[in-house]
Amino acid sequence: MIPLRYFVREGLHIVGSNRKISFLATGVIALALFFLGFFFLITNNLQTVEEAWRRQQKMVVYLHDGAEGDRELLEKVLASRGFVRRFAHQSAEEAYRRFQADFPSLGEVLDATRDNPFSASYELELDPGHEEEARAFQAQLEKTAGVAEVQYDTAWLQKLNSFVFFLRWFGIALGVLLGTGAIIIVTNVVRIATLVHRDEIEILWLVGAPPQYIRGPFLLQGILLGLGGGALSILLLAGIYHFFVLQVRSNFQVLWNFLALSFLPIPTLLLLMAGGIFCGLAGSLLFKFEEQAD
Amino acid sequence: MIQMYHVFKHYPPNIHALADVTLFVEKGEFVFLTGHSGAGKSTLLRLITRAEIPSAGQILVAGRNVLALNPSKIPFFRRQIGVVFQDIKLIARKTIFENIAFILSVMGVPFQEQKKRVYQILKLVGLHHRMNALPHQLSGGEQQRVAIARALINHPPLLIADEPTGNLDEEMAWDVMTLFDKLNMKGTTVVMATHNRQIVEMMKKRIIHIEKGRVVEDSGARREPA
Repeated sequence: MIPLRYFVREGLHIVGSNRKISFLATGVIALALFFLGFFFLITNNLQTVEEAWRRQQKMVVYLHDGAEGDRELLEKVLASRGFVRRFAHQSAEEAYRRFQADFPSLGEVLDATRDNPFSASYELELDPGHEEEARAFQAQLEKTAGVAEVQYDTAWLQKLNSFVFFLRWFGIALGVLLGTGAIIIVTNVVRIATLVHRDEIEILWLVGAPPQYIRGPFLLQGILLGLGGGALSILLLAGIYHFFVLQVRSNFQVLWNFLALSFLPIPTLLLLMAGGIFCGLAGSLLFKFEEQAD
Repeated sequence: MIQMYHVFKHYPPNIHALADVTLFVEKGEFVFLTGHSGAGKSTLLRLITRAEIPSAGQILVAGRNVLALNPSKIPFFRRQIGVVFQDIKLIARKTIFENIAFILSVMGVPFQEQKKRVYQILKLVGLHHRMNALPHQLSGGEQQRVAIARALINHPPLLIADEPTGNLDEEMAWDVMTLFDKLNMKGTTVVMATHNRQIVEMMKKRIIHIEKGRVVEDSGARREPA
């Protein structure tokens, strides 16, 4: 049976007796995880914005003038699609009045026109996640009698989605790259720690301590460095996030309402901690630990 | 207990620490290894504990071929040998109790049992009242007695001691020798390297004298066991 209490005590001693290099390793792990977390933070928030916009995404079906007679058939078509949450008709007059209400300063421009330039339309609210079907529906509607034009533009949402995807993988790649560096540094930190404690290690070998008993504290050293790195990265992220939120809230209220920012969710924070532990443990395990018998 | 057959040990580039050493130590024997500094005594002891491996030859300890030992079995093998090192080798940051108790800890002995056994062994070497001291708070002689206590805590059938009296005054040295003698009488095989002529002559035990890596004299040479 391996005494865990012994490992913890010895692991803490090793970390404590090599403070500078322990801090260096913790810092590098924290940096790697910080970048990973930072990209997750940005992409999570962008994704939230994208989802909100996607939920608000509407399809507008403009009708030909005088096509009111085709409404009954059209409404049947609209109602036949499950992903059409609701639809509402807006007459040309209502569109005119809404424009006047929304843009009173442009009222004079409207007054100058003899005829109502607006068309009657249907505004369709769609369930999110049916973009492909909605595009096919758009094509079908465009061929339907009485329909002048159908507006359903998701290209920019696709672009945003691709950007978020790219950003996330870029963050992961950067995190993996820096994480690999952190693992190598931890390996060297463990190497230095074994040199510092070589007399004790030699005694342990000579009195017949099993390898896991000798190696255990150094594995724990790696885990502690990883935990420290994980915690430090989260603190850094939280600090930067709250600073940013404070700035946006006090200086850009409109942007604040629009963005609805949120910090990383608990599973992602746990993932960062697990990443730290992995870096520390992998770094310790990579160090080849064996007795020097000549 | 120990069988060595034509054992050689070379260090690069061209140092011959041991040359064609063949010797046998029976169970329950008390053997002195004598010789000048650099004669090869410590090397021979390190080969017995498999702290080093020979360049050539075979070594059997307690019936086990030391060279053929699976690396995973080496710790178990070493726990059957109590070792007292020339340079004492106590862990400076651990108390006397901890220095001895961790041997029991690696064997999975419960903590309460560890306390009892460490106290008993320290009482045997007269240091039970210094259990919570750190090594640097003890004299050289006291540190050596702690090292002896550590070597004995596991009741090993074989005790290897490399100049255990080198740092002790005469009175303390004799205390240690008396202790070794008692252990030997209880059945522990003792192999001790020393260049203290007075002790060797007074103890009247078997003497193996080594010069330049070769056994040049053996007062009680045994034939190869059947």
